[in-house]
Amino acid sequence: MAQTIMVVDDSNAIRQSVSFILKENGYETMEACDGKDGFDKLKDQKVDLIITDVNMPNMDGISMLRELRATDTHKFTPILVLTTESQASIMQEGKSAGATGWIVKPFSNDKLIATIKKVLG
Amino acid sequence: MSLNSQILRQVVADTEQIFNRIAENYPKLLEELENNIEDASLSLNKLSVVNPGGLFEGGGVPVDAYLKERKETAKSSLLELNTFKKQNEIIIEKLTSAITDYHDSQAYIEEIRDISESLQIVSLNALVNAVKAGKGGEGFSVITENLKNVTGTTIEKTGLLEQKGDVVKRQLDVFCSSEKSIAENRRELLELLEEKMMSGIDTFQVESETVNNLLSGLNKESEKVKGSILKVMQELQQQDIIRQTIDQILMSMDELPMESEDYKIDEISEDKGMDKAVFSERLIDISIIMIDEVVSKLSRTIEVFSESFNQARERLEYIQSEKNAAVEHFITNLKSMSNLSEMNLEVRERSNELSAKRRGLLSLISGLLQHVEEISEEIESFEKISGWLQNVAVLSRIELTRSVSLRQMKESVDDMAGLVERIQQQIQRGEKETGDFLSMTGKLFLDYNEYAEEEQHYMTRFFKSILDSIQEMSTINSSFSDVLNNFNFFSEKFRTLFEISLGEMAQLKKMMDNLSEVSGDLQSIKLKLNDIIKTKLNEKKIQEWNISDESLNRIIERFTIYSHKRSAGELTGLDVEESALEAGEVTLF
Repeated sequence: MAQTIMVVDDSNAIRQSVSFILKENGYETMEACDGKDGFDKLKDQKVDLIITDVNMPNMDGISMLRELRATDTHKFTPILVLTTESQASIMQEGKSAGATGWIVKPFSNDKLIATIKKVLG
Repeated sequence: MSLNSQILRQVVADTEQIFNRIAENYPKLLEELENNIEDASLSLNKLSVVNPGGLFEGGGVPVDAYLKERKETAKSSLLELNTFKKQNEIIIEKLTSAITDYHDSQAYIEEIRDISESLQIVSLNALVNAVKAGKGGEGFSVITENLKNVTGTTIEKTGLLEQKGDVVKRQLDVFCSSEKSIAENRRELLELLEEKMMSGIDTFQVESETVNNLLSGLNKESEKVKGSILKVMQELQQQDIIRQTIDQILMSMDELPMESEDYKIDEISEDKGMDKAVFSERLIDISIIMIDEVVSKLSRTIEVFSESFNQARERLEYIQSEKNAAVEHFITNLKSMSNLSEMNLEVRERSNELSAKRRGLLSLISGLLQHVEEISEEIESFEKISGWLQNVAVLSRIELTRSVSLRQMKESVDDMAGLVERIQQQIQRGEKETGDFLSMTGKLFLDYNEYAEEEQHYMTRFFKSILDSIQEMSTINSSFSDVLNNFNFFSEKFRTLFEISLGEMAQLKKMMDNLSEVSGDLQSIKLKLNDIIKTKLNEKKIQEWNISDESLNRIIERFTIYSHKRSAGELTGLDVEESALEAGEVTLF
């Protein structure tokens, strides 16, 4: 059965692009347009992996990460942060919030897929 | 600054729309491409399978297996026809040898004539002696007179028999040479069939394999178009970066303490006014850098899109032109199939000619047999003569006993009796040899007729089967050509989506122009501010005007893109935290 990945990004183009690449590589995808939307959709929904942006309206990615880690459902769900933020301090913030990995935009499709495969084992 | 903000907000909205459209269109484009490739594969599968019951309609046999079977059927039929040919050859050989033997055996006729001539001389001598014997020889004279007449008839008959024998010989020669010519024609026909049909099938096989391989190769090539499309999808993330950059520019502009119309020298005469002017100049500098970066990103994106489109387009055009060339080549070369149909007509005509010749030959045989029958009858008529001669011999001996005057003729009568006996023997020999010849040739002609009829039936079936095959292959050929002609790697929908996506490039270029315009506006504001600041610095006789770092730092800190933070830091002399990561870098915790 195909693994499911949630993509959280306020840019529709990014969501479409990432989802498309994931589907091309055999994954099923879900989408959310910001941290709040992501949290609402994920709180009772198990997925195999979450990919989230940081800077988003309503709720940023790191806040969503914290909230999700506080739930039983996503205590251990791998979460990759996909962002333009490359500063060590913000990355550290993400790590503390429970992120599994940090990818700086713009990324290459191959690298993204390789990282996902590595994370999902 | 309100006009510039409006343009920038518009750029964000427009890029979002364009990138969203691309994001929505491209998966569709790719889906369509995948459908096209799948359809193309199905079409190619159709081309590799033949179902003679309903061509290319599921099931069926692979083209190569079908053609192999057709070839083998044709080959075995040709072999069968060759068997007939060999059987006929054997019959003709036997017949030729029988004719030669029979002709040679006709020496008995000569023998009968020679004996008859001797008998005539002997009877003439006997007649002379009988006349000399006077009254006592009268009876004998009558006998010898009759004997002379009978031998005359015999000699005449042998001449006739010889003529008839020659006629039979000539007719048999005609028969043999006609049969040889028919055999030669048949051989030529079979060779023609073998050569043309086999080469027709071979051409079809080679061409169908070639076109299939070529199209399969092109189908693989069309999958490469996917690579270009995937590249475009990857480029979509630039939209997020452009949006964030413009957000930062807008944020910086919102922080500008004065509107452009406020830049009047009198209003910044105070220190506070000078602070505002220098602060504004720096923010405008940062914004220009960021706008230029957006322009450069858009330019790069347009470049990537154009390159991908051009690659895809070139590939599409290449595939289409190769496909067209392959189809044309295939159709041209498969004209050999129509040659097969023409050849079929030729074969049928020649086969009909052969049948007519064969019928002519059969009537020749019946005429020939009739002649041999006549010879046989002639020989039978010799029996009457033989009986008569026997009687003459007996009567001669009686006359010899009755008349003393004829005693000196005993030797002549003995000679006559001996000659009569020899004629009888030759007649018996002639009867036997003609009878043997008749029964042998009769049997051979019967066999010949039987084989000829069988061969005729077989040929009819064979030509029908070839005709059916040619018909079938012509249908396959035209179905093949139809499939090829209607076969397209890329659907109209794909092409439309592709053209729409190309249209988005023009939109992005327009946006680049708008941004350059904003950058130009900011440059002129900057220049205006620069003039004012320089004038004020000159008035105050100082080199530079320092402003509080705190407010600038506050703005720069809010930048989400590190490269902009770094540029702003360099521009303003502020310390910016070092980046941990480069773009595209992955860190797993």
